[in-house]
Amino acid sequence: MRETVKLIEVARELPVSRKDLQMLLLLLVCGLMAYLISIANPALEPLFLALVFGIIAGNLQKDGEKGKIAERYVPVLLPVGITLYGVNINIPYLGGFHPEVVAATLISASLIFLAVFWISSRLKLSKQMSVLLACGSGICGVSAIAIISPLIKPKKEEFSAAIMIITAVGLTGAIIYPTIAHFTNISPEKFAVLSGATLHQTGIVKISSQLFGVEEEALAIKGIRIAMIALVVLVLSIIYSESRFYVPWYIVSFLGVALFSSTYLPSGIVQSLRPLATVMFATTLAAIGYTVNVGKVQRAGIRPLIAAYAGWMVGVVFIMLVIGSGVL
Amino acid sequence: MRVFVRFVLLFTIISAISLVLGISLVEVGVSPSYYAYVLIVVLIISLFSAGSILEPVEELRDAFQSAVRGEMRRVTPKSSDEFGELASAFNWMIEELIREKKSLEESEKRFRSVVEELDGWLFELDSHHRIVFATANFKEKFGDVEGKYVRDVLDNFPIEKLESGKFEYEIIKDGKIIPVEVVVKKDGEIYRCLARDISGRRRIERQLAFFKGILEHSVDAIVILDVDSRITVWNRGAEMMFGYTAGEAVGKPLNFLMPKEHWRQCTENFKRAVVEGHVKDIEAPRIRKDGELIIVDQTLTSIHDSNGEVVGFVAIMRDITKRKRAELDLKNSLEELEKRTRELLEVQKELQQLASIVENSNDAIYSVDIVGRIRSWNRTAEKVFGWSKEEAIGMDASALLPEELKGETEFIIRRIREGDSGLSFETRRQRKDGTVIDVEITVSPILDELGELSGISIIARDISEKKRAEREAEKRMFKYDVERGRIYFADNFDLAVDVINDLVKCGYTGRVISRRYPENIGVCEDNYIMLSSRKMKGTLDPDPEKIYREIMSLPGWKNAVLLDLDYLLVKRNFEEVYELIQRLKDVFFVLNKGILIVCSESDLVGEREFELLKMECSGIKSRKVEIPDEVYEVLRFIYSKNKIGERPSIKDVMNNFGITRNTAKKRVQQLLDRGLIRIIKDGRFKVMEVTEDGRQIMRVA
Repeated sequence: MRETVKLIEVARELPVSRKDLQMLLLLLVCGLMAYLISIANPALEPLFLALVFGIIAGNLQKDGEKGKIAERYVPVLLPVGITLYGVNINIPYLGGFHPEVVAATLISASLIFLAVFWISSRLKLSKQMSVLLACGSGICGVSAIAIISPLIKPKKEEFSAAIMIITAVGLTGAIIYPTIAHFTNISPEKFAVLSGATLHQTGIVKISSQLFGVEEEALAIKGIRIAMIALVVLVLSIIYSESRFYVPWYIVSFLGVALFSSTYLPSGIVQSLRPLATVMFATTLAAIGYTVNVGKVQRAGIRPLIAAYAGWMVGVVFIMLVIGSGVL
Repeated sequence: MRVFVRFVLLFTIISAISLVLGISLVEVGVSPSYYAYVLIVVLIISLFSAGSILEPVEELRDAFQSAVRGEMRRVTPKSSDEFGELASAFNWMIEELIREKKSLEESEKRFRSVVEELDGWLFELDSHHRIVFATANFKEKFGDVEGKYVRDVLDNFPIEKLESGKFEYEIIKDGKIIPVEVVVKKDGEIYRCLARDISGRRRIERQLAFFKGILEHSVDAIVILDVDSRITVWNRGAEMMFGYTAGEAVGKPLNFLMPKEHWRQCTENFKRAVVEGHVKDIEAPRIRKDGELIIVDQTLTSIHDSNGEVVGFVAIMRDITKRKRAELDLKNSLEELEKRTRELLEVQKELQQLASIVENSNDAIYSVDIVGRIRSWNRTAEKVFGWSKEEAIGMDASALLPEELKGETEFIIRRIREGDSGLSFETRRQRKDGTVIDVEITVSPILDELGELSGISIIARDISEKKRAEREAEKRMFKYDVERGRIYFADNFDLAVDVINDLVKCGYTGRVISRRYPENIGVCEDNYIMLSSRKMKGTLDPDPEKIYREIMSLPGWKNAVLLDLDYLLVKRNFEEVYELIQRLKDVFFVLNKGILIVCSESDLVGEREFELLKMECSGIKSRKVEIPDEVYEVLRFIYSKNKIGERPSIKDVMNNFGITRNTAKKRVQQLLDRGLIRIIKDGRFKVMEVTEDGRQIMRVA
């Protein structure tokens, strides 16, 4: 006679407990809140917000057990989040740009990357921190940091600090750029290049370019930088792989999703998948934030902040020089 | 102060930026959400600035916490502000602490090593006699004891003695008794006890007592010396052996007991003891206090300390003087015994040789004991006498004697008792088959170990053939019909003298004992003894005993003795003289000493005495010869010379008889004419030889 298996017994044996569910729910709420706020104000990056919410929740509760649960879910959530985040990447068609703009954008991004990396090294920051800050500054801000973090395996505190710092630098740009435009009487097209080439987060680019009505252009230029993440991720995964030419599956899947979504996938589906992907990644960041001690994050000090600001300033100066020289 | 300056500077910058931004933003007409951005930026910057400011403080805090936990680590002064100074101060403090800790650790290590290496168990008791501290070795032995009552750990621990400061106690653990000495030091309420295992000490004490007993009661002298060989211990055995008390001996070198010539040997022995560890069986003389020399058997052993260094010597001496003397005596006895044995073996060998000689001798040799029984009998005796050895041994020796000589054995023994030791004479013996043979015997006494006569040995040689031939020859040569071993009586002195002279001519030793002058009776003075009471050379007292001895002392058995009885009869009566004649007859007959002629012309010999003399003595008869006497004499001379292998010449006859050549020639011519002799040439000499006819005459005569 065939034995019947009761569902309760099966549930008991599952690795998911009630506390796990509570925790997952909390993290999901954080992610969801961050997403909702970012919709209301695109300048506020959902990943940054989810991390901050996670940090706040974690440091308020100070529940070690829950921290462990969150820690346990990070390795599961992160690759999934990265893969899905691929839909947010839109590889642009470079033929639609002026070559000078593409060149200036690439040079600027590279310059910022190298400048941040060099300054970080000079300030004796850890290599992981330097890479995180360089990628965050040069490519696409918080999302770049989140994507490359599993490759270079930084400390949670360094990761959190890098996200915060990049957010701060980006927001500073959002604040300052209108002022710069106001005092220099720059044309809206050129402002689109400035913001697209030097500002960190897509949301901030959007906000700052809205003022001058060049949102589309700025985001397109920013798209070039975002596309660089695919290249950087590939290179970094090879550099940091434990064996030669090993690329983790989630990077491959991330790149595949990014390529697929920006080419073949119908735009409607991509648009509908984007919130899910963002919430998923935000939840992962909330989980990371939950396990982080704010005191230790704080310990990163002012030096990475200086490095990030200085590198960004290099990029800004370069673009301003290019604009001022009349090449564009 | 510098922090405050930095803070004011930062505040000023932010205020200025805010002012510029505020103006610009108002002019551009941005949304109020930008203020939220500013807030976020300021918050983030503040957060990291604060982190930057707090970093050294937190580092210090962590360092403090680490220091409290015992991990001494320094902080790096990242700035030269107050935090930097604080960090330097902290580092200084940490360095001091490290130094202190190090010194504390060293001190603890030292203390621990001292406690761990302590030969004993250290533990501390509180006022309730609970163990509050115990060293590792104590815990290892008794388990985790801290907090337990001492009596629960150590049975019957005498807590009442804790105040005494030191006591001994026996711990019984795992069925073993461990004697310990507990030293207690009271430190406030704490009793600090050090229990030390003294089983080794007890064992050594027992051994020491044991050795002391041996040392004190040993009969051997046990002397302990220092490295300079000076006496440090002198036991009772040594006192008894040498006579010195310990007080007298201690401090003196060992060689004060030795003769000076042994000092060098003593030094050598000490060297050997150092190199080899001990020297045994040193037999050497020692001098006692009273000067007596004793011999000791000494063993010298070197004593080493735990480092192997020589710290002294032990000399154990045993008096072996008595043993040595006994050994010497034994050795001498052994040598003596060996010598005797050797001698005995030689004697035995000699005896065997002698026995062999005796056994294989051509003479019959036998011995007779004092009662006349035969005790030994050689092979030749068996042949000569016919009795086998088995038959002869134990047999009466008189069985060998013919009827007429039955008293011979008794006679010989008597003679030997009188002092005659090499008695030698011719006699007769009867064989087993009854035939009588002539023998020449030599008798020797056999003395026992006390020198007493225990028997006689007799060497007998069969001379029957010789005797017969001799007798035959003598009969032919003698002018008168006389025979050896007989006594003859002559009433005519001239006849007696003529017989004697004839016998002398035939090789006999003549001896005339008479009162008459020799020239009157015509005898040589050398053969003459004068009977006289005066004692001088050539005189003899007319005492029958002395005369008997004189005649008996004559050597050999070819004696012709003339005894003139006349003067003797004057001096002594006939009976005495007659007894003398009887004794002499016995002697002459038995010993065959020769021919004795007694003569008397006087009237002192009456009819009766004459008859008696005739009974004892034979008469002298003259032999009938057809040729004149003087010629017969010449024939006899030649015959006697021929017998000994000589052939005389005319000159020899002249010289022998003292006659002229013509007379000698005439007498020789008469013999030639009768064919009794012949002249043969020997070179250029003419010599004479008796013919067969002449020999026949001599044989018949």
